[in-house]
Amino acid sequence: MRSRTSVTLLAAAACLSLGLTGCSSSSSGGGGATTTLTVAEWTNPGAIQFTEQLDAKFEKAHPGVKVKIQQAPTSNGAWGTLWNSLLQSKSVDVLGLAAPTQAGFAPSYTSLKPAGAAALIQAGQLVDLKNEPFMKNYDATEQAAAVGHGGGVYGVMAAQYAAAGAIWYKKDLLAKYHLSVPTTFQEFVDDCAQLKKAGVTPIFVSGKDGMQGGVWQGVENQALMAGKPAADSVKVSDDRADAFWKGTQSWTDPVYQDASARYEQVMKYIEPNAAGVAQLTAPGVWAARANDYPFLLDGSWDGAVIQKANPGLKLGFFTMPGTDTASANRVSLRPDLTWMVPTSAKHRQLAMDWLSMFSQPENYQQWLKLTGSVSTQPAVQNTGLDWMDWLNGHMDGAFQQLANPWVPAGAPLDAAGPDFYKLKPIGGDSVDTILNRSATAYRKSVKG
Amino acid sequence: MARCPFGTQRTRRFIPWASIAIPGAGWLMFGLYPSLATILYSFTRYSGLPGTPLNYCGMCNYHTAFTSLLPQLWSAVRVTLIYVVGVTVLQNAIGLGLALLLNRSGRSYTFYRALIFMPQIFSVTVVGAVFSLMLDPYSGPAEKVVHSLFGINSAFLGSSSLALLLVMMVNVWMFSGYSMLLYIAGLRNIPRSVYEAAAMDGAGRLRVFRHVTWPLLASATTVNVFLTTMATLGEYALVLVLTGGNFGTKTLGLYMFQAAFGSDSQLGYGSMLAMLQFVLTIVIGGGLLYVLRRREVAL
Repeated sequence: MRSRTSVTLLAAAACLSLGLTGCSSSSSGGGGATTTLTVAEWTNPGAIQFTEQLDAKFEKAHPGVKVKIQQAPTSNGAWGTLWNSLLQSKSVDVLGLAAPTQAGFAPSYTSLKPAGAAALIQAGQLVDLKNEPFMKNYDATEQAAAVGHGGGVYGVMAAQYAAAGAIWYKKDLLAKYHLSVPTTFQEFVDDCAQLKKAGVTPIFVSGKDGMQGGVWQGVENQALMAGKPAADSVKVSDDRADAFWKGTQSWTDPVYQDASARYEQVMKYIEPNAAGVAQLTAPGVWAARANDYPFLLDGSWDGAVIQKANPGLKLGFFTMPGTDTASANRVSLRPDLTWMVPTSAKHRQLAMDWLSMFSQPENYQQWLKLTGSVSTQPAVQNTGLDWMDWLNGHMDGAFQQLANPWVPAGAPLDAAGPDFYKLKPIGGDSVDTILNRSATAYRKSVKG
Repeated sequence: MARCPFGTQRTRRFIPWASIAIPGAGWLMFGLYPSLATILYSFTRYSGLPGTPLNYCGMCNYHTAFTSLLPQLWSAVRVTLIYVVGVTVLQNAIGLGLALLLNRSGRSYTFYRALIFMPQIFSVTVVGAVFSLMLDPYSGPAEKVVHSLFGINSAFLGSSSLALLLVMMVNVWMFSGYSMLLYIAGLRNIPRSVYEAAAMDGAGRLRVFRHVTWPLLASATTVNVFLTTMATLGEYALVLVLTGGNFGTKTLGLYMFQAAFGSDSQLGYGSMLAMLQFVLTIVIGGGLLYVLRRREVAL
């Protein structure tokens, strides 16, 4: 009996030790000691492909170092769960998160506490990268707006996309109907009317996932930024948020009424069943129907997906002109993947080396090509993709997309702006109902 | 002295303690600790991220939920109640019908029972993804069927009048097999002699069901209704995958999930919603159990 107990204890001890060695980030088996650098990012095929290529280069340049990628899709909270777990277990060295922007840090008089990356920055959980040599490759103002706080810069914003008012188009279809890329709102609406008259449904959109909201945001962004320098976008966002909080502005103000009226005009030209189309399938379905739907409302990040679905498609991109003054119809860019180094990173120096290699112009150029991102390095342009021509030609005056007013956790969708799921034609409510409801929801939300 | 199958007399003394200590430690770690942490977090503005401060704020989250954000809370509770009642009634009715139909011996019946039970073992994400594709108005087969039968188009999961009903139907499709098995177990516990007596009295099928089968299935009904209600009260995953909580489908469970783990989430507020959901579960579950048990005794 004693021997049976001993065997059981030995087996348990062996299992435990095996389990513990499995958790270690360094190993000494076979070909000598290795150090594992862990890089985590959400699943974006282009970004993952690039990271794998860079990791191979990095491993070659750093013998004895192995780079491990941790990834999960953003859908259904999978990515949020993964990066939180990695931080809890202190097992990530380079972490790709969405840039918090300055909207993540509401002033103290609101009593709102930061969430996500902003909460990590405020709690001192991310390394300040401001003085790292590779940061010289990036635009300091842009980086500070995206991921700066209290004088420090806590990440490298590596990607940014056109989201508000972003439109893909089929070059052949526009040419067939003798149309050109519109420069004013009226031109765009006229193009849609002409296409509809010719029996073509002009616009395809994923209404199920709210992509139609980009039209409204595009118009609103261009109207609020009209005549202001690009660098003022953070101030415009902050001033608006402050005015909303203090009750001197509301969702029923004329600028939002006007944006809603223009939204209504554009929505007359969308596919009738758009409300049921998911964002996951929309680019593929749109690309496959080469002779219908000249326009697709979708962010500039989906170029590779569209091209993969229909490699023969002549693809173009522009952002919707939201006003009737061509010069005011500027591009707004939404900060996206931002590399951060947690203070708990076990291999901080290696993480810096990895970021340094990432930031080298030849590597960054390849990153832009595979992700379709707009460059955040002034010396590098995304020239590897056909559809980037229009964006590259319209970067003068491009500004950071305006942030919504501050709202507390748990606030309804309406509080942060119109609920596009309920607004006609996706929902059944009129513009007046929606804007009044948003204004009331905002005031109620911040009253507590 | 008889040989002890589990070690010596000395080691045997520790077995009862170990039997309590091991599951006890598991319960402390995975049951009590998370529960106490949820209660504590509900009084904070904690982001839920490691190294960030708790930001204790007393009753602030409860105050916000019952004042400024009351419409949002009430909307989620209302959707949850509709969901619970709809799914519980439909799932039990279909489960019972299937049980009556398939409570027979033979390989083909075993096959059909297995087939109907099968969706239960699929992950919610897989089921959600499959139905999302099936109900896509452009690339899914459902639209073609509806269009050819009725000549109409529908946005299905993107329609405010249909979305909640469709999510409920998917839930019912997934778990009706489970209800069916519980009802079959109940049916097999009914003595054959009772049916023979009813037949001798000349009772028809409907009368036998009404006066024999249904009353004697009371305990199976209690278990089924109680389990379905408890499961649907906390439902969020299927709704998240199918509609993301849009088009009037946001349940209390999903509201809690999004508040605690969504973008710009606050675990503090989410924990408070979890506490409210816990209270709702206790009230509804307790009340239901009381009514169903009384019904069992009365029958």
